[in-house]
Amino acid sequence: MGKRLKATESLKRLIKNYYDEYFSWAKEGKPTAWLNVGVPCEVFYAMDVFPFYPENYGAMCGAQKVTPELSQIAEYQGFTNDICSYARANIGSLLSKKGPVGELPIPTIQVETTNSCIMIMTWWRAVEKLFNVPTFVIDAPLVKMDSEGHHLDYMEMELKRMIDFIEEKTGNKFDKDRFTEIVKISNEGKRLWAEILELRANVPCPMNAGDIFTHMFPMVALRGTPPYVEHLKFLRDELKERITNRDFPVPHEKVRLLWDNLPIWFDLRLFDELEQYGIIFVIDTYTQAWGPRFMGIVDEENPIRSFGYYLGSGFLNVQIERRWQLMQDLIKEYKVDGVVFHSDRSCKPYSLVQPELSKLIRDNLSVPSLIIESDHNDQSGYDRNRVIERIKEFSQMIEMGRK
Amino acid sequence: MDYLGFLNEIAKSRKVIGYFDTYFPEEFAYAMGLHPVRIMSDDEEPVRANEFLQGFCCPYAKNILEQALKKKLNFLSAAIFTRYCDSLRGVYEVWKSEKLSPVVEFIRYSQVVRETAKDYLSLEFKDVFNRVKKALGCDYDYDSLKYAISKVNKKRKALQRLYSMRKEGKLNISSEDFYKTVFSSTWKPIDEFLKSCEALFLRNNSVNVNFDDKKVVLSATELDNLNFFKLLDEIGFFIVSDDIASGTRYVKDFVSEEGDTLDDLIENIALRYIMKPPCSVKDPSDRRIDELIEEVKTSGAKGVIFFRTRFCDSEGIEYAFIKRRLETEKIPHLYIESDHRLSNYQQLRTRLEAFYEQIVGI
Repeated sequence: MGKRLKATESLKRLIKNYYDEYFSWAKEGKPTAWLNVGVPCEVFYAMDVFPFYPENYGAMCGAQKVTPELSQIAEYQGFTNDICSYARANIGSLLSKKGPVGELPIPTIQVETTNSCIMIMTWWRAVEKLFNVPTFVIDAPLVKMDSEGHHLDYMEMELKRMIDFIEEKTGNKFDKDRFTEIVKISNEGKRLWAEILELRANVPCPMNAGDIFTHMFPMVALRGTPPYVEHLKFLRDELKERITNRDFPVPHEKVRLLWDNLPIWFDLRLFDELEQYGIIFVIDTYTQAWGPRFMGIVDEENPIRSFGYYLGSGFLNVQIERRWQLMQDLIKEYKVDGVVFHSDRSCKPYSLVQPELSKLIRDNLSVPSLIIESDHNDQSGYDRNRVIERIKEFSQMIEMGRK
Repeated sequence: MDYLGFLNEIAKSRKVIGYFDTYFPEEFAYAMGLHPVRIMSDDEEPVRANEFLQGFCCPYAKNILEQALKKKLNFLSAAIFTRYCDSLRGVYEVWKSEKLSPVVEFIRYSQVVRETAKDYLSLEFKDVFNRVKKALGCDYDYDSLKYAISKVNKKRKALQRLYSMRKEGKLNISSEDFYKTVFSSTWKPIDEFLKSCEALFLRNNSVNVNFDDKKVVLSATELDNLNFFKLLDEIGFFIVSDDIASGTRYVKDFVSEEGDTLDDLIENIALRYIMKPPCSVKDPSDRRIDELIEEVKTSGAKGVIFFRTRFCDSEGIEYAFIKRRLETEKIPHLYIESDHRLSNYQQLRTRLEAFYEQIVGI
């Protein structure tokens, strides 16, 4: 159970270096920026502005199970306890100057985009107001399938406005050549990530969901940097090696499942624990957000427009038709036996279409699904045994259906 | 006749188009000869909607879906959503999948209060209403849109007069009746609404009332349940003004009637809806908070009642800043949380009574 990847050790170093670097940039007074995951960090690396992702930090708070105590601090200040647990943890951490890495430096600027949820925009607004941080919102109106026409033109304009904002607030200039170099590196890593996702389609699957969620970090925060490519190569090679040596987390798979939504960060071991019953999550929708379908190869000749396209067509900025298309593709490509929907109290746009998707899957593909309720970051009220039992029962039902 | 009965009657003579928040540019609907109506919540408990939306969805949004699933809104020829909040976005997805009205449209709305969004939103309006035109067999042109803009402006002007009279003590009606009138502006035909305003103006021609000690300002997103206003009346409060999406935030700001071409008019509409007093789902929302404070100061209100609909994310953050600002300005306030049915009615009553005693005295 829980066969560890060698790449996880190198990932830990990568994360530590990233946080160390953020702290040292802030200490030296070099410009830093807080971004939400939809904002392309490549632009910031190219402009010597250190990109930091509070959502990643939120996941760290979740993994270390400190969200409830940090939330309380935010709640004392009037933030309500039913808003996103990432936001509560982050705001509580800033107000108390406490958290998994101690006092988090306040950034020089913030940039966020509305391409995931409204919550993010108001969370960034809270930091803007509490700490007087200049903030830019990349307006990304929701699309049906893809950004195109006047929507795409608008996305391109918004990114250009963002660059103007960064230049104005940090004094650092945008260098097109340097940016192009970084985009090339970013594309190289994206190809590797696409390979990694594809390797998971192997039967048996070489990598369980807990590991892929952990290894998302470089895709989120390090795109465009050499260590990101290095790490993804290492990870890809290790997965290939596992397949060659037939060294799988679940050698005799009974049930191959798909996980929909963010993981339960405070209980990634859930996936490991289910392995002993022959249950493996071979694919998920969340890591697809950084995959070729939603954050693909950027056109090096016209990078800003290309980034605008991916930003405008982001995973949570599309409507149910595109989510349904993704589900159908993944179920087929990964030979999925059943879908587990994590109905996440802290993520409305991800969760509120799940009952409808479940119905579509049942009616059109005859694939069963299960909805479990939890929160991606706040363990209050989480009933672990019940979640495990329900997934086990669901898997048994699938097995019985085969017989 | 009640709201739904009235709309069913209207639907016999013209196509009714439903919308769900006050970012919907109703001017287009009037220009096409349609009757736009804001779908208001009722007191239905979610039963069928629970099959489609989880428990942490905004209860107001869920109630709207419940009404549609129970076929109470079958008079609608079309439903047009904007991306107001993540819960209404969820309702839109279900509405579309379950085909709850013959036409379902979605305006890919801008979330920022920035003039830079004007060109984009103008093009988006054109796209959406071109599709509506085709689907419903109607049309609009320069003249009809100009006329519609002028009519909606007249409605807003009448509403502004109502609010002014209330503030000046020249409108002696209960809070329940006042909001019944204000909210009816989002579903009654404009001429009919203007007539009812005129009648109200005449009836209150020489009124001069003084509610100084009991004046409060109410802050909320949507608050359709008139029982809440009735409760405030019973306790003794006088809602002198508000910061409600279908209240002052709907009433303020006109669409400019200037312009020689259809495109000019469309841009004027886009600009008004981008720059209007923002809800907390828009950014920045500073104007909303500034104007709330201004309403308190200019009306002489003794405090603010902040009503948050459960699970409303943006208000869950915004409240922290409204609270800070009210404390800085030394304005007493009460935070309350409920749903469209006021399911915690007795608890609300107790807390409101305590607040009344705090600001008015026994």
